[in-house]
Amino acid sequence: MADVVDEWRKLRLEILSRLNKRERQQKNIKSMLNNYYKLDEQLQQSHRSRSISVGNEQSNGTANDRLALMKEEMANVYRMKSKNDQDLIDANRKLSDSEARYSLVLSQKEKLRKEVDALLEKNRILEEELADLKEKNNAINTERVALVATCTFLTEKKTQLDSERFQLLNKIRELQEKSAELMNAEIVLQEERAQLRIREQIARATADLNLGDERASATFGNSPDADEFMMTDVLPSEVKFKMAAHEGEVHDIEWMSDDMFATAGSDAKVRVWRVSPNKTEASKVSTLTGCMGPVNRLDYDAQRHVVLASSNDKTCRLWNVDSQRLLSTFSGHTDKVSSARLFQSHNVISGSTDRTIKQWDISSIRCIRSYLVGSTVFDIVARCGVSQSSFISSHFDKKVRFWDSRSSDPTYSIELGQKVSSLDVSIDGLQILASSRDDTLSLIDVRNYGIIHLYSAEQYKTSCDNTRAIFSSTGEYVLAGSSNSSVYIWNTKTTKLEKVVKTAREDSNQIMSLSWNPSGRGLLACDRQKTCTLWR
Amino acid sequence: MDYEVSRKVWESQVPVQFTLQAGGPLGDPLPFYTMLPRFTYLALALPKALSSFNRRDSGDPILSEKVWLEVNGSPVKMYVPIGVIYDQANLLENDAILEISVKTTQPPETFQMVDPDMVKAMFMQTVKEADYLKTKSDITNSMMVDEMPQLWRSITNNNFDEYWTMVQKLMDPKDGKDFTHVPLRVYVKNQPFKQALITLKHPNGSLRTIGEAVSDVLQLSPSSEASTPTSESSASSGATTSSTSPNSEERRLISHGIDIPAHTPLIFASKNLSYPDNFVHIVIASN
Repeated sequence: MADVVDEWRKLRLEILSRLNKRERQQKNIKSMLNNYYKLDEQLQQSHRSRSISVGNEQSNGTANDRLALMKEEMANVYRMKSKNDQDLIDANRKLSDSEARYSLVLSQKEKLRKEVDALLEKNRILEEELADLKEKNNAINTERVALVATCTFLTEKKTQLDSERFQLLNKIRELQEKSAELMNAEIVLQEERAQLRIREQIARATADLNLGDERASATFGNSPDADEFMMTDVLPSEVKFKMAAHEGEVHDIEWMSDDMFATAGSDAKVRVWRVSPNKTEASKVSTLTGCMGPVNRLDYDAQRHVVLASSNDKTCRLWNVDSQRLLSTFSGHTDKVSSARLFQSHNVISGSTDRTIKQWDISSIRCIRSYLVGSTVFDIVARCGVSQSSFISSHFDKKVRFWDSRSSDPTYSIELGQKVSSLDVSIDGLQILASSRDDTLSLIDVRNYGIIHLYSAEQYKTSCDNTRAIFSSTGEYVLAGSSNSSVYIWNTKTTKLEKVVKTAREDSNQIMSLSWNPSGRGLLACDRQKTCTLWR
Repeated sequence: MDYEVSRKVWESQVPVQFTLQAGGPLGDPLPFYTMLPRFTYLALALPKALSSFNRRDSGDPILSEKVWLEVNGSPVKMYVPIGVIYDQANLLENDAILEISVKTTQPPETFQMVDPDMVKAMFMQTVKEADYLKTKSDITNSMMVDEMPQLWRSITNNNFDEYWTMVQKLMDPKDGKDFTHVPLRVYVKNQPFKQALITLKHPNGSLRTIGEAVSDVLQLSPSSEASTPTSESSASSGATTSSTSPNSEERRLISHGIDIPAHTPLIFASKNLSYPDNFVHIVIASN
């Protein structure tokens, strides 16, 4: 029974499917019939119109034609309307686009207007600058014309000066020849005067000896050697005088004879003084001029009676003391000259802050040799050692260098504790005294380069880089000036501090240099307070 | 009964073209086209067509009693539903229009014109015949006097709901008995329809199919030249069932414009595929 029911259901569905299919097929026919009905209705209306106007068949045809024409026109109108609508839509869209672009263009215009304003401002500024530059250009052109004229004039003047220079050179050469002749003559005279001075010194010493009979007889018993007795150095006991020597600091002082001494000052002058017979004052004999800067060191040759001075003006100069004439100027150093010494009877040796040592020929006034050291030279001494060609220099780098002028390099060097500010040679030339900034004095043997003694004291302070320590006239004592207005005197052999003498009550005066009278009695000291002091 | 299938069958229509061939003074007017229900009769449709022709023709009006109808060169049998006529015209393949020529000449002797009243009477008679085959006229005899006219009005007014209430009484007896015989008419090309006494079931109790029934009808019904359905029906009365035809599967059974599956139970076809006159009209398509 179930199978029968399923079969009936399938059969039913099949029949329904076929009925639906047929129904769909007939829909098309129904649609066609509906259209046919509409057309038939229109035809009926047309027939009725025709029957009404049977008599006016021509008019009816015309009406039909007009109707067709009007329908066609209406169709065209509808098409045009549709087209116009589309055109309107397109136009609206274009209008929107145009408005957007117009807004954009307006903003760009505003932006460009601002740029134009900025550019106009820049243009105005540039025009002003251009005007200024034109004015400057005109001025420069004017100056150029003037300079061209000046150049022409100066060229002509240069030509004249060259010819004058040539003539002057010839005159200089002639004068130099005459000067050489004069110097040779003066040398002969100086030798004669030196012999006379020695005899006078011997006579004066004899007179002094006679005056001190009692003391002389007392010391005669202790020393069998009569020569030693006569040349003994006497320690200073009292200040004889104190005077202003220069308008500035007094850098150096040097006895020239028993009663004459020379001073060098920061006022670029070298002065010669004579001590009065009673030793209570000194009078100025002469002023040696020519330096253009402070004078640092003095050197004196008793035989030739000449004074050599080294100066901060990068030169060292040589004067004749008697005639007060400037004999030579040695130029070549590139910095201030710290020290200079007469060397080998016809040469000068000089040390400078430019770290070189130069050897000069007095007759030709030219530098015959330069020694490159590499360290600032503070002091230099000659007439030392076995050979006449030896000299010794002290330096910023704590060293004392020993030289032979025939060699470019030092033969030996010793290093001390600090900068070596000054050197002095003993009377026999076999020992040197070195003063260093570590407030000590060193006694050095020139032959074996050994340090024999060291001298120092509790209150002793080296005054400055160019402070000077010296031997006494016979070498019995070594002495140095301190920064506290005192002079310290040590015994050379025993290193015992023998005596301290003061130049002033206060302790603020720096003593720059010392000099012991060759007669053995008389100590000169100069200081930064423009004064020099004599003790006897 | 199956409401859906019945409704679909009821709503089936066929396109019909009426062409006037009167040879009037202005020539024949344009044809009249219409869609007609399958269950209706040409006698009911003809007045509308003639009215259309008369509107166009300026001559004397054409009267229905003075014309005769022709389909494919043969006079139309006015008592046959239009759907059956369409199926007989072999038009299913190309969905063509049924062309009916309206002629004003002297009708042939084989043509019998009927008016709507005559069609109504013939319809009523056919329904009673069918009920006799099914229930020995028990239903129709027990119906009220106005119920049969109501059935006819549903057809003329194309009112399915009214038809449905009436047809259920005819198809579903209250006592639940099976039909004694099935009202079945088989149409063969260029021949009168064939009818025989066919039962719902085989002697062994199995249901008879429509294919088997058609084969039996064709074998049991001899050719006759009877001109009335009643005569044909009477001639075939008393026949008994026989075995199934061996070539029944090759036939195409057309009804309501569709191919009816040969294995359709005869009881289903009788109840759901019958025309409003309660007969199953089967057209055998010619190959």
